[in-house]
Amino acid sequence: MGKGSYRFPPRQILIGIDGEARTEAAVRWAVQLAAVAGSRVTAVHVKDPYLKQFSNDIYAQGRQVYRDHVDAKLAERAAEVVAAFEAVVRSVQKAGRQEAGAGTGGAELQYRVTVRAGDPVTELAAAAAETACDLVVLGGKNLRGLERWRSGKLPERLAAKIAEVPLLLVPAGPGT
Amino acid sequence: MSVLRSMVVPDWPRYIPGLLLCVVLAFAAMNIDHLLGRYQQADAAAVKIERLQEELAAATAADDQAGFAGLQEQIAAEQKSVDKVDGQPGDRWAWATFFYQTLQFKYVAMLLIGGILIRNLIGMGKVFLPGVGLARPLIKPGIIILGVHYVWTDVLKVGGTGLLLAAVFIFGTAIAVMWLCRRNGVGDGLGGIMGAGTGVCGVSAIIATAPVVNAKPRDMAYAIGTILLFGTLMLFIMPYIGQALGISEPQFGAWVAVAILNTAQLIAAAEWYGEEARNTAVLINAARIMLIPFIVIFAVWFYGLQTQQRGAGGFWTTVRGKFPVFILGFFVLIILNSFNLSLFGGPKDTGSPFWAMNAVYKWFFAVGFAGIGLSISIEDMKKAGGSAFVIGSGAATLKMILGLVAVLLIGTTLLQVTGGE
Repeated sequence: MGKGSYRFPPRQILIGIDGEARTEAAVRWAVQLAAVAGSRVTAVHVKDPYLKQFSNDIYAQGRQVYRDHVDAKLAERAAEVVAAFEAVVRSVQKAGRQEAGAGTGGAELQYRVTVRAGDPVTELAAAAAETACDLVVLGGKNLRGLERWRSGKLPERLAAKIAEVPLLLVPAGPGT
Repeated sequence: MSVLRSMVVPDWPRYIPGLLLCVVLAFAAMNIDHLLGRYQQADAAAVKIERLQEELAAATAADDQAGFAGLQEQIAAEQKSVDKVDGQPGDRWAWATFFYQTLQFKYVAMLLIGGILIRNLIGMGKVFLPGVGLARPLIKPGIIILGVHYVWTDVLKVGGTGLLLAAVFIFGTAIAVMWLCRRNGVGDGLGGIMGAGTGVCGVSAIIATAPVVNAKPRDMAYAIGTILLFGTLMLFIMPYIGQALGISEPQFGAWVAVAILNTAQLIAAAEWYGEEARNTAVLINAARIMLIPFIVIFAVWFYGLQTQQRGAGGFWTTVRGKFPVFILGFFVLIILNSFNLSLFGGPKDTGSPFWAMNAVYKWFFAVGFAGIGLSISIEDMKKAGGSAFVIGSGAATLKMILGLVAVLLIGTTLLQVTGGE
């Protein structure tokens, strides 16, 4: 392989999932690509526990109860996100079988869902490195003005961190 | 031995970088403050000496012996301030007056502004975060020590007035917010934490209430972001409004105690404005935060919640679990100070134990304010949004205006902490 050339078709795809409407198009895209190219998919959901830092506010009481509450809610959300992802996988596979015609098997999509905890950019970059993925897929929205200023700008920050891996940004469809 | 070991967190080295950073910043700010203060005093003295010397000349011309002697004494007294900075006759330090007096650039402002700028413009490495988080609650020992400034009559007078004022504003805001949220279809979780947050005192109240009303992470992010945003804005705006309107220090202290949405910013604003403002604000704020368990109980009743799993429990369990116990230390010191024992002395008795404690409280505050400044991240404030933002801005504006009207009507005397003078 020459310098600057990457494995194609990608053998391992990493997709960041957060259960938001803006990410659904990216998830479909990644799963469909994997189905066609025979890639393995690793879906990563990152639980961001940044809310826990406020538990040491000056007069905060019941700090541990609060931290446990945040953990519980993040775990709840993670379960929802994983379920939503698996639903998309099933619907893509079903549509694929229908298109290919009755009787045609088609290989089952090989995928894995991981839930990590920490800063989203750091964790996604680490997951990309650990799975030795050939493609990272993220969903995004084209934001303007105040919404753009408010945004955490995850795709830009992740792109800066994973300079060695192709990053595919799938914009959310119209109406999201 | 194991008792000692159990008091030390296993990963204690994590906290060192952040704590060191806060201590260094605090040290720098306190020294610059002290230096600026000395030059500002010298400047004020120089101005006064000029005026006094004119009066001296007039007294000489009028052959006024008594007046002459009196004026000479005054000039000598003022001269001490000038000598401290090795000033020559005719020297002025207008820049010091500008920074220290006009801009009020004191240690509180330096640490908060400096901290915010460092955190958001330069950036603070993740390695500092645990220590900075630990530095913030260091204000608590400072607050307990402040108890030496009060006597029991202050608690009854200012505390009583303050408690009434605070109760009206707290319950008024909380009830209004929770009711309006219900009415406008805002989720109970968000309504509950915004009611507690805008009513009682910001983030601390949200921490106590969130598990009880089962708040969702997104709502918590909105609520905390909103409180931090408006609390910080009020911290920087209200002192200038106060000075422009010429509000007395006790009145300002009461104003910030009921209006500013978050405790850290409230104490910072009061400390910034002046000693009397701080004394009034801390006392009224103590009354305010003691109401946290009651707001939790109210939220349980209002939303008809199941209490057992949500960290609320029955009435006394809630009071025990959500009551800020350290505030009792504050009142213990007030009681001790009220006895006026020579054993303890007082803040003005140089060399006495209470004087020594008072000299030290500023350092707890300084390290704490460094921590607060460094933990105010624009990223967190940007998360303010949704209904929380609308509610927060409405509550903040109303509390500012109504609070101002209230303290102007109540007047200075009822809000003034005497400390046994």
